[in-house]
Amino acid sequence: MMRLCVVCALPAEARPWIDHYRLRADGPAPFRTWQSDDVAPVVSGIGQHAAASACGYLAAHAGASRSTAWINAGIAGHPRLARGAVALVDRCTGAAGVFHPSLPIASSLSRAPCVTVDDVERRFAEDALYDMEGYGFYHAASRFSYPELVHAVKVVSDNREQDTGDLDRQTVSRLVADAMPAIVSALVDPLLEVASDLSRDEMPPELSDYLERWHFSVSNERRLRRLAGDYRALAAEDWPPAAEFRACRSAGEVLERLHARIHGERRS
Amino acid sequence: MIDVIYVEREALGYPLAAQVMRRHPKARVIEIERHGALFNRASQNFRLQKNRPALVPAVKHGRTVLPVPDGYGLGGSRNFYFSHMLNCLYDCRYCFLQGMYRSAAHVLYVNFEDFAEAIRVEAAKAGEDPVWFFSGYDCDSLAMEPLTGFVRAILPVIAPLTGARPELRTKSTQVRSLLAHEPLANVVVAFSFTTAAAGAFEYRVPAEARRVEAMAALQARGWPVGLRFDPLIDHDGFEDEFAALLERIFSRVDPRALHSVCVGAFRLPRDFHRRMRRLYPREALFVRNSGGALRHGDHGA
Repeated sequence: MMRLCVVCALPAEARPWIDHYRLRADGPAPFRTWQSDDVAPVVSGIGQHAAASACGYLAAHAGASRSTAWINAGIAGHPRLARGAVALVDRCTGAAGVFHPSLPIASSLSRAPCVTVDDVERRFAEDALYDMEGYGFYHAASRFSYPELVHAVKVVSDNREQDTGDLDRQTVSRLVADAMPAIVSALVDPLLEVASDLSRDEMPPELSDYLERWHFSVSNERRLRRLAGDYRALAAEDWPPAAEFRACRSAGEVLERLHARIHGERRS
Repeated sequence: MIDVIYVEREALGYPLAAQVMRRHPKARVIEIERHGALFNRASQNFRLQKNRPALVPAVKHGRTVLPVPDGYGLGGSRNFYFSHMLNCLYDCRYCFLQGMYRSAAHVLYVNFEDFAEAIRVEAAKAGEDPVWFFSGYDCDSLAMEPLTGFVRAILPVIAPLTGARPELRTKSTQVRSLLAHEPLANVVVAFSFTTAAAGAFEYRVPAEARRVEAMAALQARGWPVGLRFDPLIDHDGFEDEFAALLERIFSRVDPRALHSVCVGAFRLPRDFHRRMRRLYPREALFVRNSGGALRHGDHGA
């Protein structure tokens, strides 16, 4: 089960994540991805369309579920925050609207609004982070997961005093790497904790042995899943293996017996 | 603990919005246009948001006082409800608000005067029968009183309206503003209780003993008080536990001086039940009762 998907625009932004979680390279095209059993970064390339596309690709490629946490991590400009400052985005404005991330955890990370733009920002009209992916990322990632688990965290790379001229790969990686301990302890770990609670509850019971042994129509399969959900909520013991119902000759008979076992009565 | 305050720009013109922001100096304040866009956004997870709900000072437009749903009331012929807040400080697993709203944010309507005016208008239409106004439908009437000051603001409005019968319904112990006010014979302060076993479904709710003390204090001060056993949730040993609950309450509260007692079974509209079940798939309450005891079609309180 993929627990965390990370979207970075640049390989240099992804590198500290790969090192931190000791991830293996997973594929070069159409997006570079790395993966362990539960963490998967993707390098999207620059721009909100690229970020949105990468979210879609990663969701399918890594098998993300509704309770997978998503993080857009990378560098951003800010008019006055110092290079290296870390900020969690609490409002992201794009050309098409505003996204208000809702954080379900306590976090010591500083918060800042973010404006997603199409080119490197030099005017800094607002007292906000300026990035090039955030809005597209939120829009896409929150299609795959609960919006409360979708967040962007930015490391300031440039400001009014210090432009992007001296930024190279090493500098970008170092900026993100220096921020990793704070990002992991104040955002990733607590977010994964609440996501795990949900994931445990939402994990569907394993039904393949039932579906292989008997023919379930679409509506009967739906009934089977509902009964499995009832069973999980009510019973202390594990969901019974299909072999326990080997005497049943049809899916309908299995459902009758399951219903009686769970609710203590035969369906009328 | 409030981390984020989303304040409607229009609400900034009301003193209450400034007051709640002053009470939370460490909260991030983010201005928004209309709370509906935030509150009603699709695919939000109420359960996740309940961990750290945002506060949303907003202005209520349209009707502030509405007719109650069928079956809600204390037997009066004209019944209205109003909600100065949406959502509750507490986290009761059986609460229908989880199924009704997409967001767990606390929306606080700051235009109390519009609520007061609507109450005056409806109360003025009272004939022989009094007009009931229920305030604990979309929120707990008193739980956030230290922050909102709603009761303090509304009591002077209600006091001269002899045809009005407001009910404040609560699971809280926030009765200070009522104790500081002369009792009003037309206001009922109703306390909700459940049996000890059903109390396991209530999170962040003050201890029962403290609520009984708050109720007793109001009664001693002369306020009409009521009991609300709604929802009642069936469980093994229910009758003994319910009897024990009554004993604990009546050890401090005079049963002869009660204004009213209401009892209601656990019940939910079908859609709310479906959403709540999805939020808490392992919650036996939503399964155990779906075969019979859980009735669809009504609202719980």
